[in-house]
Amino acid sequence: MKRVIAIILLLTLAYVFTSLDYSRSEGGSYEYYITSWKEVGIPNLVTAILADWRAYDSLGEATLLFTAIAGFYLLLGGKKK
Amino acid sequence: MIPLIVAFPLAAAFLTSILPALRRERFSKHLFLIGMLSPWLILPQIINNLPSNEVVGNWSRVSGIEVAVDAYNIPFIVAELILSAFVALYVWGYYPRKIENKAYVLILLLHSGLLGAFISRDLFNYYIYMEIASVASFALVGISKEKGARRAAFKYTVFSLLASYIFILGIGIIYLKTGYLNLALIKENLEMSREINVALALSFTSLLLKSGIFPLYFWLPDAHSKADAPVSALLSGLVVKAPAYGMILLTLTFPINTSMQKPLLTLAFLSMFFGIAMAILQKNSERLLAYHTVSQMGYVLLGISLLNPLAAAYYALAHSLFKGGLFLSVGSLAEHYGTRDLEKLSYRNNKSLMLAIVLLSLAIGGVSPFIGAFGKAMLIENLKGFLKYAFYAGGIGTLVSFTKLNYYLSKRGEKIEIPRRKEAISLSLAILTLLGGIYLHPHLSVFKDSISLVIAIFIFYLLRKLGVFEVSFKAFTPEQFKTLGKEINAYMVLFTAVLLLFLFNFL
Amino acid sequence: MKMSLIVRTTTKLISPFLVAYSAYLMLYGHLSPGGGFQAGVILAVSIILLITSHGYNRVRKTFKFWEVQLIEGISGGFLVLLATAGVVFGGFFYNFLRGGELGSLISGGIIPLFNIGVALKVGAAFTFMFYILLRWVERD
Repeated sequence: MKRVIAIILLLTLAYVFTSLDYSRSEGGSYEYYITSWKEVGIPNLVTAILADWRAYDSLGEATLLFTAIAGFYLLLGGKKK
Repeated sequence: MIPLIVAFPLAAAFLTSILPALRRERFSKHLFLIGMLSPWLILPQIINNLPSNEVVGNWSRVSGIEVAVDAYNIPFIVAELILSAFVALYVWGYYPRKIENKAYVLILLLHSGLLGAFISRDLFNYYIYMEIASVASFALVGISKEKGARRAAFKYTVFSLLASYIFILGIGIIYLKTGYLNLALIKENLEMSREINVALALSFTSLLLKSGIFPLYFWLPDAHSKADAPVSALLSGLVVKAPAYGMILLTLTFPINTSMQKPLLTLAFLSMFFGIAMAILQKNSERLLAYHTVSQMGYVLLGISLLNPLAAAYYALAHSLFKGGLFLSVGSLAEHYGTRDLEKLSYRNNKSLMLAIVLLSLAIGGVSPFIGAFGKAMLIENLKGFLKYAFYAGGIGTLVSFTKLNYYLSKRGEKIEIPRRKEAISLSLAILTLLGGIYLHPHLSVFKDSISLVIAIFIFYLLRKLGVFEVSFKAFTPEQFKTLGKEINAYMVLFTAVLLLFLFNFL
Repeated sequence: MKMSLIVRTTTKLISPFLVAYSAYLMLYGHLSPGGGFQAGVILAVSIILLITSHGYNRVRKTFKFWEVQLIEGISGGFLVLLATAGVVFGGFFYNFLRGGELGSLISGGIIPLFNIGVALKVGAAFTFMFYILLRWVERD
């Protein structure tokens, strides 16, 4: 019974997600990044996005890692040998 | 200028984390307090030029990340700053020396993550900073000495992360279809389509889970009741508000039609009444308050679903203050009695805590000069007919439950010593709810309030005579599941079902 | 928890190269493929390789627990400081050091500095996580 419910739910989800159109829309930030590459002045586009245009997000990501590890340290690292 | 509000506590968190390596652990308290209070330095500047926005790094809106402070998020920011300042004072010297430093680091990270989420106007940036706050809170729940705290923390982690993944999927679809992450630009370039509807359904369902709305509340009572008092105050007061702010952002950006509005409205009312009903049956003081969070988040969702985000934001501010205060004051009692059983607690011998809890109970019940009444007055404007009475009934239900809390607490108990500082913090939060209410909405409706109070007390005695409070709900506790895995599976199915419901409703 | 001589020698040989590679990725991340996160992970791998081959007790004598913690915190603080320093010049995360020819090392302004900060942070964070886990496992 449980399995039947799980399979039905999964199939319905799969139906919804396969019925979508995953083509990219024209324009938007993506186009802007490609065309105004010169604005940042470095040849690596990925780094330009990660470390300059959206550096604030990268700071957040690095902090997220730090948070995870601080939590980890709090829960597991209390005891010294 | 605005992102500095995040940067100061963040810098303090990093600096606090290196103190043990430098063998200067004794200064962590001071650095912690500085970090928690430093955003106050920037607040005057932000309030003076109020609707202000800024793109980080002086880029154009298309490429950079926009942060803004305006009428919709200033209540959240103010609530965050006030409650976290009180919690910082409460936590000072609270944790044992061994884990003190690490706990301070995490609370600072929680603080900056929440502020980052509240100022954000960019979907991905909002998601990242909300995640910092949630990840910090997982560990903070886990360090509690309460039995079952780690289990609660694990459950919280699993479901919160599940919701995060679903949310980022939603963001991805929105980015794919509109080409932007910035909410103002999304609004300009929006063409509604099937995909956007699916993305909205995904985001709303995951944010509903993260804010603990019925029927996706299952992690909340455990996590919020097992945590230590100051952490509970932060979780209930602030962490569940970050997803609510996300929902406000979504409703401000996307055109929400009635078919999307209806399920949200239904869930808001269900959550309100379910929370109250469960709270009335609880015997554990913290669990009672935790179920009230479910109910009060229903009010916030009500504001969102009525497309009245301002009401939701101010109700969230009100809820942060009184629920934070309640968790701190009841938590101090519970801590010094060494139990969370309502029948063993008493505030008889402690006049200032008694005053604080009574005032905060009136505030959460929506009695008039308090801040709760202001939130409710804003919410009720858009309600009509039957829903209006249901809303009043919700208020009375909350009062019944808090009559119960005060009834149990006012019984005679053994005499205990509670530090002056904790009493002062609880009392000042209580007075703040009163002053804030008078400042925001100077209005007194004696007749209506006394009627609801009388009805509430009457219902309370009726229920007591009927023996409702003696009922013990074995079946409603998590122990009915044999293993944690089975419990998680069951809730996962529930989550999927709700997700599908939303998907088909939005499509 | 020591592995055989061959493994130990090989990892000892490889680790410095990995560190050099990681340094290249963080310094030249804005000119060629690379960047802070990747460099950080490779930096962590060079130490994790040593831990797996030589054992935690040997490695922690060279790379001390508190040093890793210090690097993690300081590099995080450095990132925030870098972002905050921009406020003086015009805005949070404002790239105030921009200059030089396109393609030269200094053309990135604060980008290489940011990359170095992120790399040290990520590298120290992963190493630190390994240290916590191993300390916990070897506790009893």
